[in-house]
Amino acid sequence: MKPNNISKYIAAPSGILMTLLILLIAVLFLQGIILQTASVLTYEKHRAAKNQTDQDKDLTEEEKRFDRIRNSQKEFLHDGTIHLVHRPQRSSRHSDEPEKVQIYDANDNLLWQGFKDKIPYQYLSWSGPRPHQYHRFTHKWMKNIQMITPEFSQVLEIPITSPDKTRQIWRYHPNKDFFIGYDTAGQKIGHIGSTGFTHSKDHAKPFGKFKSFTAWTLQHSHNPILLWQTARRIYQINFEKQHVRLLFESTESDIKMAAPHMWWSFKPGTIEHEMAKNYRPTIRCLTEDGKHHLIMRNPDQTITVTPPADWWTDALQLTATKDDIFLCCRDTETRPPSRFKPYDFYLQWYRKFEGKPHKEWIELYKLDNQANLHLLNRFEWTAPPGAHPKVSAIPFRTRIQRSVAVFSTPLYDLAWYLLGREFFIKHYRDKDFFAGFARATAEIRPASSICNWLLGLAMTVFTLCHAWPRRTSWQKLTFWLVFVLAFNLAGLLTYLALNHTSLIKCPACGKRRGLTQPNCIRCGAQLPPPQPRKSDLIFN
Amino acid sequence: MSETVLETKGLTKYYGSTLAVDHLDLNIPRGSICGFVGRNAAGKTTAIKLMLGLLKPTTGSSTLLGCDSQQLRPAIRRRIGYVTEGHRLFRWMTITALEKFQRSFFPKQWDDRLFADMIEYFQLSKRQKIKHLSNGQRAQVSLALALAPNPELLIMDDPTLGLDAAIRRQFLQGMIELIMRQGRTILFSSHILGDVERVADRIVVIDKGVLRANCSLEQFRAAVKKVILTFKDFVPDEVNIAGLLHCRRTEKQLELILVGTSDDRIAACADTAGAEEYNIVKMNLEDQFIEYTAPKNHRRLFKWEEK
Amino acid sequence: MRFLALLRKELRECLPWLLLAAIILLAIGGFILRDAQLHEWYRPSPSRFPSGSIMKWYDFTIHPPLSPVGPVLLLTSIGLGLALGARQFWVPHFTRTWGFTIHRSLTRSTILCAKFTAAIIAFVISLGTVWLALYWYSSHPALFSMLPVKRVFIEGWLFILLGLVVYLGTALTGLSTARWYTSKIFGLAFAAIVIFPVILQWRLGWAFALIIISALILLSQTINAFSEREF
Repeated sequence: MKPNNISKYIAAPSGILMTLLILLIAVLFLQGIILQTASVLTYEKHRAAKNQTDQDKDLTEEEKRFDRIRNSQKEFLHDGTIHLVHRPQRSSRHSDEPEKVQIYDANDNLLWQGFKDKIPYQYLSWSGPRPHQYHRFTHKWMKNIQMITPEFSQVLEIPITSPDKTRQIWRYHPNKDFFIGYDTAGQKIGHIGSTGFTHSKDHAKPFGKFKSFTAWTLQHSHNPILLWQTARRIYQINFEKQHVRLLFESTESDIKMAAPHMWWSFKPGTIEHEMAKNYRPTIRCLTEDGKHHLIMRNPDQTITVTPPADWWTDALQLTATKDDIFLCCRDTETRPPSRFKPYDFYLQWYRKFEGKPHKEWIELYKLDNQANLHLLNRFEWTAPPGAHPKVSAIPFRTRIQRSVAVFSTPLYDLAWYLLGREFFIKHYRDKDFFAGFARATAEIRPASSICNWLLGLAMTVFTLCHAWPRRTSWQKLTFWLVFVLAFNLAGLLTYLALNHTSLIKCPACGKRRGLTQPNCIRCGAQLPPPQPRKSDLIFN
Repeated sequence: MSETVLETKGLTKYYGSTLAVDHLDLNIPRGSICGFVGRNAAGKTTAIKLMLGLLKPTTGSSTLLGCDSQQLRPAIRRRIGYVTEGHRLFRWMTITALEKFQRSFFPKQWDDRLFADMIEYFQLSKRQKIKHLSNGQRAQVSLALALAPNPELLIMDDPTLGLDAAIRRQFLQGMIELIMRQGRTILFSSHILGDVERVADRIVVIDKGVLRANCSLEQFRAAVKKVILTFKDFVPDEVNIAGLLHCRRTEKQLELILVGTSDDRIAACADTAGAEEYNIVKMNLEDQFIEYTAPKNHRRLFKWEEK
Repeated sequence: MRFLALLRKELRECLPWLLLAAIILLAIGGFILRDAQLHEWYRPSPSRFPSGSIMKWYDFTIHPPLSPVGPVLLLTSIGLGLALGARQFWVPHFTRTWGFTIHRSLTRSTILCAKFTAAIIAFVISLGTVWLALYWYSSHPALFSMLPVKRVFIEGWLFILLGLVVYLGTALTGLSTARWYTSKIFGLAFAAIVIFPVILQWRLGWAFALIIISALILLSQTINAFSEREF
């Protein structure tokens, strides 16, 4: 086969693929613009409706009380007593004005009121769901720094410094999954992996699938210590001392989340430094099997808590004071749908509880060294019904979404069912190009709509009418019909882009015919030669 | 060697739904100088490009030097010289660079002396860049580049377009130079019938994509006639005579354009029509071509042309 | 000899663009690196980690000294691809020299091969050598205190290959006989689309795979278009 022939057989499918891709993206882009416009209009509607609702609000005293209880922060003292800390006027996050608070007990008696920084009570401090976003270097950031970008990828380096200059650089190599140390002359010092420091590259072991790290410095030191979390382990790495300590290893399932609490030292004179005197440094670790592991220091101890299956594990908190270990659990009758569910899930959830009061509660437990739970206190309250103006606004966007999705290819649904919802949820927050594309298709998929199939059928019929006088072979005709049915609008546009050839009127039968075949596809006649004239002077 | 250097069979070309060339059946014998003429948008350039394989026919085929035009091998192309319409060359090259470029494709055939002689004859400097040359000078360079490889077949698409009379004369001299070499065949399209008359021995007329004439120049000259019939009183609207192409009526005369009609028939027709006298008017090739390709019942553009 | 003559002609036509791209990259890249060498802005202050505090994640991420050269390299590469594609496949259309070019004692594929070879040589000479020189300069331990990042060198070559993809897209657009408002622009559009998943990619292997696949798609169509096209 000659190279020209080879290229012909590759060029045709390449051309179809290229054109289809461009038109799929163009259709997706247009759909996105329409949806985004609908979202903006929806937001405007929602805001207008909410303002209207707020203006119309005229609560009774009882309703105001329920509202206050619901919006108060529930705080526990070390003995288990609960206080409700209420902020009558929420100030702006960036305001310098000190905030005023009111503190109530469980029986709704006002105990104290004044400025927030003057509260006379010592409440239990909990490890948050995670450190502040800027303090935690996650696997997404690891991907982001490796992203090519026009400014090239970045490197992760831990410097070891003297007061005025850098002595060592420890560079993380993502493909090797350990650190390599260099001195200022560029010479290798050694390697730091999961087994610790080693001079030999062969002895350096990878840490494991990276999840996140947090870094801090000790008092009187400028050199960071890292809390390095992988899928199954948590390490503490001290680069200055070239030391790696394994703090925790999960043998049964992956670590879902790790939240340190009072783990690092704070500057003397700060509130955190004062608070840290009453607490043991802890890392709260949640694994995929739903267990909570509390890793403590002073003394070193690890306990594993298996909460009951019906508990809302996302709302659990743990802390360890010098004397006791506490667990706090919140729950509600109206647990919202898990993240990244489609709009209609949220719609159903809102409608179920719209206009109805519902119960919420919070419990405090003490844990013994065997991780047994002992209930200290439980506080229950009734949250008042809330009007959700968003409910009326959501159908508008959903309607637009459904109308726009009618022009999408039904293969998006196939991808959704094959890959599964979890695939899209897992990649929803990723910032790379493919995740964005997956997100867009999840939004715009036709969801097996009948209108989508009917429209596809109509387009296929149109394609048949267009292709019939132009057909060169049955295989090609069948291919394009199936193609348009499968890809809907993008398929039709691709077909037209590649096949809109001219037609002429057949001189024999008078019907339209294409020019790619020598004979008319209707009557089989060839193109007739012109009529010779008597005046023609043709002498060969 | 085959007698036919160029043959087309049913060559047809559609641009979209517009018919450019319609079932062209052409046969150019070896050693002939063929003038390819037609009105604007007749399909001359399209036909030439189809013959050279630069365009694909809708139906039909053509062969050049025994090879299918769509599969012209490099060895065949080496034997064909082609002067493009408008003499399009690489503007950034000098004449020397262009010569060097062209020569590398004809290592064995290239005639250095012929090229140098032609450039000297046309009074061109080899260091000049093509973009600094006038239309005429570019035409001269094109011709020199086309002739220097000694092609067996030379195809030229309107080579004298935009040239003045003196340059055209020089150009035709060059063509005659090539003609002197045995076995060479030339096919050239032109709007200037005087040039065709000067050098061609064969004429091909194409009208709206259809071949209307393919004969020797003498045959064409002899076949197309203009006859003026003068009447004393009554002038008939038309006359019945074989080969009548056009008939124009004035106050006292009938002007007839006839194709392939013998003198005897003309005399008999004049007699039958009752004409007082008849004259066979001598036409040059240009007049003959205009009348031959004029549409039926063609009206003159300006009224003062009508007597 | 015939192929070499054609190649020389194509290279001569590419020469101004080749030189322009090389000069732009060398001048701007050299200036940026010289500035980086003198002021060491890529190296944060040794005392940026206060004692007794929690670090922010971006305290540990370092841009190599070549990072500002990246956009210059990418844009120059894309620009060179556009220029070469236009010069080789659009200009003959406007100057009507296709007939003179195609009627050669060479097959069409050989003529096309000469054009591609000239383009590849242009990219390698103008951008490849300059990039190599810039990388070598930035890796000199005596001049820069940051260790060389090998990955960055490979990423630079990715940008150069992207320029080749843009060149193929421009060529395909130039050879297309469709109307501008229909599918003529698709070659360029495809090349433009390919840029984004490549630069928003953290796996080098995938980036290369994307480039190779898109180049093959464009190349096969360009070869077919040139072989089948009417001039």
